[in-house]
Amino acid sequence: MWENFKSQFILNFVDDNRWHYLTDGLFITLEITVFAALLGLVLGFIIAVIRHNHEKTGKLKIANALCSLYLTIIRGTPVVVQLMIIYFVVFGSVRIDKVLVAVIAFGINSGAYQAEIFRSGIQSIPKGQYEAGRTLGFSYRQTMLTVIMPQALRSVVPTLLNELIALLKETSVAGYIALGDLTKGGDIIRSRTYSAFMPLIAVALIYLTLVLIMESIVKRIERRLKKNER
Amino acid sequence: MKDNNAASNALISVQSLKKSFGDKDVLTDISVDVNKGDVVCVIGPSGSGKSTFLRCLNRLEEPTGGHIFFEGVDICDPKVDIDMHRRKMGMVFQQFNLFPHMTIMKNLTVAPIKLLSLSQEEAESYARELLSKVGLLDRAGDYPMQLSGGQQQRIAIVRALCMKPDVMLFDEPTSALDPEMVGEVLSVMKDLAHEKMTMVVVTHEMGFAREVANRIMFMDEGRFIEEAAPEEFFVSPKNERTRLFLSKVL
Amino acid sequence: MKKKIIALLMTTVTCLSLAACSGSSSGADSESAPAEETTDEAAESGSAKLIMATNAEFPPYEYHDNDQIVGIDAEIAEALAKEIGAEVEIEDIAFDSIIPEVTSGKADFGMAGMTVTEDRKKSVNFTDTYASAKQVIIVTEDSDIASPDDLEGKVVGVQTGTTGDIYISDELGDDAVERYAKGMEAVQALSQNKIDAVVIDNEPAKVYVSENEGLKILDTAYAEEEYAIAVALDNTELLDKLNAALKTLKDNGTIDEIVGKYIKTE
Repeated sequence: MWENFKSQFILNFVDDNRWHYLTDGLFITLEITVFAALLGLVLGFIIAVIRHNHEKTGKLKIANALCSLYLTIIRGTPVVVQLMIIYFVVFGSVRIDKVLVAVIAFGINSGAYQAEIFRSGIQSIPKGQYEAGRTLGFSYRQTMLTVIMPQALRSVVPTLLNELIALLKETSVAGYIALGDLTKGGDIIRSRTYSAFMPLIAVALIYLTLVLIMESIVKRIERRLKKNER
Repeated sequence: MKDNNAASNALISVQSLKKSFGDKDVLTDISVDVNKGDVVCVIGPSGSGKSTFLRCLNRLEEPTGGHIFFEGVDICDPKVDIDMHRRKMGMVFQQFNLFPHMTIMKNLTVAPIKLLSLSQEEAESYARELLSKVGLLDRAGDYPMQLSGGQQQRIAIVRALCMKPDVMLFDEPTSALDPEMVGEVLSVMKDLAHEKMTMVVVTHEMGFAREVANRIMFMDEGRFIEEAAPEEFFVSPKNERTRLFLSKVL
Repeated sequence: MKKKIIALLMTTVTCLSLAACSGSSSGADSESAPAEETTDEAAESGSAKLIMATNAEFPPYEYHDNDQIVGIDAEIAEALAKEIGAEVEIEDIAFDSIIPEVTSGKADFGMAGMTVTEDRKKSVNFTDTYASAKQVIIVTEDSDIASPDDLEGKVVGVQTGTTGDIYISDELGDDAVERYAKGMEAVQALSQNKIDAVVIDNEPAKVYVSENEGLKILDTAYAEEEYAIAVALDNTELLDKLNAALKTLKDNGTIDEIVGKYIKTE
């Protein structure tokens, strides 16, 4: 039993230095996740502000309509299809760095979800806070910046990190555009060794470890936020 | 225009103010002047439009029709920068609405520093002066959540005062408080009245109205039905509905 | 907190490694179990089902045509089954999953234009070869690549797990390979100038090139190879039956006939 395990392990990870498919893949997965999350953060924030501004003041009609359209399309289609469209259609005849393509695709995707997180964060702040700000003489913008956003951001940090966890797992379809991410790394080993168990479980364990680490960070932040509220 | 001339004398001059939510008329044709130094108490049954009236005065609710002149300027004019005028109209809410993410001191100084371009020292020293008046100087470093309701409301009054407003609007300032805390807030308001602050107070505190106000206005179904000095209002109300209301609350 | 996480991780790892051991140890003897079942059934009922794992993205060997999987492999499999006295059920999965399907007993045999390699032989038994093929190089018409030697330093697209993938990875290194899930996607990337060349089996290459403007196949093949059917290592019974049937079909010309139907000799 142990011998079999050991020989399988050696075949899948040690022979031909196959482990490097996993480490290289992990690096690419992290690279895509981090930069896509940042892009999504910026996009999501801008969209949430546009949508909230429109709701409160009635301005920015066209921008708001565009945002709604974007949210509908992105949230209504699978991320893998969006990825393929961006790679094979949007950048149809350009030779472009595939990591960049993935960052753009996953960033645009994540932006839609982050926008809704920001928006619900903003909406969770009682109306009275907005009114108190405006009554003091703050403009809409100043009220948002000094009163609403600091409170809203605080309340969305845990949710945003959960979105980051979801994003990390979603990047596993990056292999569709021939990117050697973590999942694809496992697939490559699988296609060389013809054994399913080791590469797949190794990939799963790496994702699981990353997610557990991120979740512990979320919990810590949540606890700290609760402490401050008291 | 005659109306405009009238407006120049009053601090706030409300002319034919109308407000409806959808097809529900909340305020129907209100005209009233508030002069400098007035302490106006607006009373009336719930749902009569008192709060809506008050919130229209600084356009927290957008009036559907009519004009509101504040210091001679029609603030219902869409071209008017309402933010500039709101600085001079302090407002206190039923729910205090202090900023929970800021210390008391920050709550009091954030607007003066940003909007009146006061230096931090200036803003803080004025805030401290007012804090000691309401007896809360030792709480400057605390967060709102650490204070009782009555303390929070006193801070909310101070926050509005830090902008050095020309008028203070109170929207049922004691309604959300436990009974034993009502007194401390009313006493701050009383002091304010003695200092000749112009005040418009929507309240259910009849004792306060009788003692502090110089004008009582009774509102029902979106309009002012009766206006009188406190003694006259409480002792010999003219209107039938006023009498009915007073018989229930007194 | 930290301790908790570590504990949690430890538990997971232990559970999984236990599962791994039991999984792989039983793997060796359980691999045969499902296969035996099917062959037993075959013996009993006379016409049992044989499950064939393939990747139907590989014209003309196997591809989808109006809800059906057709092609050279599909037809040969049909003919072989008739010889053995069984029925074939075709299962369409990713190419790199075919051998795992066979070794785990989920499929009885794998037939997908699969080249016999030493590595694959460690996992499965191959029947006698039934067709020969070439790995060819597709390039754009204006490409400066004229022979396999010119691939050095270029980016080459392949289908994950195919012999093309393995050859190119070994020879040019991992950085030079872009592994697509489907051959068609690699060709698409080539026609969009995202990569410099595609190395893939000759017959599907012809189809791809005929369907995409501006591409050509280099005259010099990248490698020559032979296709065979993959069977689980311990299922020698099926292996023998298939070999016997293959011999019959080769001798009576059926195989040539089927291949000729799909591939016109130039």
